[in-house]
Amino acid sequence: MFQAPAIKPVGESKSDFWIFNEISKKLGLSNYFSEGINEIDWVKRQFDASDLPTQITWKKFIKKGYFVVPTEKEEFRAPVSFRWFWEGRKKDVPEPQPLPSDYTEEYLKGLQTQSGKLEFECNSLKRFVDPERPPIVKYVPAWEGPHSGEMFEKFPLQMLTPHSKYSFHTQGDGKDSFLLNIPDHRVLVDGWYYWVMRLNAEDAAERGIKKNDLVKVYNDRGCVICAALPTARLPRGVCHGYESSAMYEPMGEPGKSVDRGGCLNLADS
Amino acid sequence: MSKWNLIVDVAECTNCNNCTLAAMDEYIDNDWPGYSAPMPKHGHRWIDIKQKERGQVPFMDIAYVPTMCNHCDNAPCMKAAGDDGSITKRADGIVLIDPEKAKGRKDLVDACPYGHIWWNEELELPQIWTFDAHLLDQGWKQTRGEQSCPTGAMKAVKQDDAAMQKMAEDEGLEVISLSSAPSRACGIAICGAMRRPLLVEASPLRQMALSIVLKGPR
Repeated sequence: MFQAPAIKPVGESKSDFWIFNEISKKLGLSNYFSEGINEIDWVKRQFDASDLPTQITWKKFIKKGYFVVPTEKEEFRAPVSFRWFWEGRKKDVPEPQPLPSDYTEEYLKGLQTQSGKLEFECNSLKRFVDPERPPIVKYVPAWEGPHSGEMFEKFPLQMLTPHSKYSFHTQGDGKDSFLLNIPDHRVLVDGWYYWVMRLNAEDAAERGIKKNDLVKVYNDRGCVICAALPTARLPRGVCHGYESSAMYEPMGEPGKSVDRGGCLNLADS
Repeated sequence: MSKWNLIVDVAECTNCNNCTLAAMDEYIDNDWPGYSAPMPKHGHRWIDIKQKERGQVPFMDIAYVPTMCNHCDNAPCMKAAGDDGSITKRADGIVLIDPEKAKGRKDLVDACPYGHIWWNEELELPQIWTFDAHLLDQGWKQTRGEQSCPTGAMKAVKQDDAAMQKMAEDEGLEVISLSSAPSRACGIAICGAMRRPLLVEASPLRQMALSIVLKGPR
């Protein structure tokens, strides 16, 4: 487009070119900036540098004010994704997928699935009987939770175990490092640094648990002793302790006794 | 006289504890003669982040306030120390506990209304965060905590009292009172711009041990 002004300049407003040219004059560099030509000459220079002169003359262009660039010729346009597949042809695009070994029947025909088509029911999963991986994607409720009946009555708290904030497995932790001084990481109770178990403040009150009380965190898989932290940050019925504790400290036979190092994954797996 | 000030933006503190750990890295097992004896490996938190929860899931607000020795003007610990030179205040505002002269002065721990004098059992010495004076004197422009802070919540500024006063007015900085003691903490100004919405009325706030003065966005 050759944009003609719609209104006169408001007040003392000037074009960007004029502004920068004036600045360059003050710096004694105006020849380098303007190269000795003015604004309109610069526009013509842009025009000449493009392909426009092959389509329209300068005079006609500024008179008309615009030029509609024609669409790319068919043979130069990027193909529609999967158009080769839709039309039942052999793959003729440079994309790597499907890879050479992915084709089921004929080379370069069909997609990388077993049927060669887009699959809503996954053929490769039909070979296995795995209720956690059904061939058709369905909502599967969490494997344990409020729907677990008897187990939920026995163990009514759901435990969240995200990754520890202050250590990466044993990096920094488990070596009597000064990380132990951070209360969000471990709490010193009677000479031992316990892992922190956060639980809802009301759930804690119902159980007579106060901040820094030692609590036994258990289900029928494992048992860990932690220092409690009642908090309003958790809803009722949910507790939170980081996993990947760097210390496994069984208080009796390893694998068969209570841990006080903070390995909450003992209750997970 | 140009003095050191630490400005802490409590809205930016995320409780990452980098500053706490940086201080431990600098002082544990490191002796800085004339400034500080080594910090013990366990039990001290010369930079200590306090937390306050408000609200209930899912509407929570948690305030994190990094605290440390405030290097007070008219420091109560200096008064308790007496004239023996065990605690001195430099012309640039930094308060230092002399690692030799203060030996055995366990009484000084209770002299601090902010709980920021720490007792070193092994060396029988009261200790504080020294504002990284040994580094600043070498030409450092930041403290270790400031350097480690990912959100820019800590800023050490060296300027005279008038300039600091002006900065406090211009930027809406306030001193936050974190204890029941009268807030006489000078030398450290903490800007209490809590830019998150308030969830409780003003009166319950006064009863809380942590009273944070709230300032709306400017």
